[in-house]
Amino acid sequence: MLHALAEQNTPEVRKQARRYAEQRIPLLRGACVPVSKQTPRDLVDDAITDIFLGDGDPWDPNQCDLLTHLRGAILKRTWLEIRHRKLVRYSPFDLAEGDVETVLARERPHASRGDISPIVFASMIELVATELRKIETRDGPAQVILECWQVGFVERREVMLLTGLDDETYKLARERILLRKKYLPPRLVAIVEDLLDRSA
Amino acid sequence: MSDDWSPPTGEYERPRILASLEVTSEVAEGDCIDPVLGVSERDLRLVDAFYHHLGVEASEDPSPPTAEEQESIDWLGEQFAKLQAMTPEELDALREERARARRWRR
Repeated sequence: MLHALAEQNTPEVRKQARRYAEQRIPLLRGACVPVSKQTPRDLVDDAITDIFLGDGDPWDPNQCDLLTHLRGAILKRTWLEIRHRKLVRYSPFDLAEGDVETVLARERPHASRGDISPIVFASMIELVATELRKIETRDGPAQVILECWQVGFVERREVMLLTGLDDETYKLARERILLRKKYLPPRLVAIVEDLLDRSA
Repeated sequence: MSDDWSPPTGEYERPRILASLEVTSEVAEGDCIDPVLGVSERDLRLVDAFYHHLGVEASEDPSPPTAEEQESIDWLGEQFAKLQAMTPEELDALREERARARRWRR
């Protein structure tokens, strides 16, 4: 296993893993997990060190390649942190009436540096989830993938196994889901980008 | 990217997956992890999965690394080389240090 780790831990794989880790930052920040510019790099380093030391979920090079394992390890760790933060961090809020855009506009100036207020985060979750649920009900393959996602099955292999979708059908349905990012409100995208800038 | 979806012929019916899915114990219908703001576990998982797949897409982007990424790539390479050069005693100490850090985070 250590031999495979040394062999597959190439600059290209490190670049790919870091790019993956970077996409976890908006959610981490939204859940008030402390993050910095170095967080994506540190997430990758932690996952590699875990393999080397035999900590965490073991990597079997015969089951998947290093990049897939690193992405899975980063996903698991960040998900647990996000969920933990959301579970323990309850505080009272003055929930004024108003639509999501109004709430976002009101909350943003008050957000501390690099932070997303819980209201903004809740709005962000609601907006994205609502957008994903706009997938046509006739689109069976996309619907079953979303059902898998919302109960915690996200990897291609497990989703295909659970749904019986073939490779091509899965791939096209997943693409249709990811295309929904085009329809997310520009305001939401701007907030996430702004927060990322402020953390730089 | 292709978006050539045509209406299904019925071979991927929802009951099939609903019957086969064993929902993890921490996810239950109506489970709310933020009762004040109404964020449900299902919504959070759905959005988390969406970002995961955006991350997978980003990681498959073949463009060359930026200067900042290159810095991280080099740093990660150096860290790995340091790990490989550690003695068994140093590795044990590192294991212990990381275990302590994990306990502290919880």
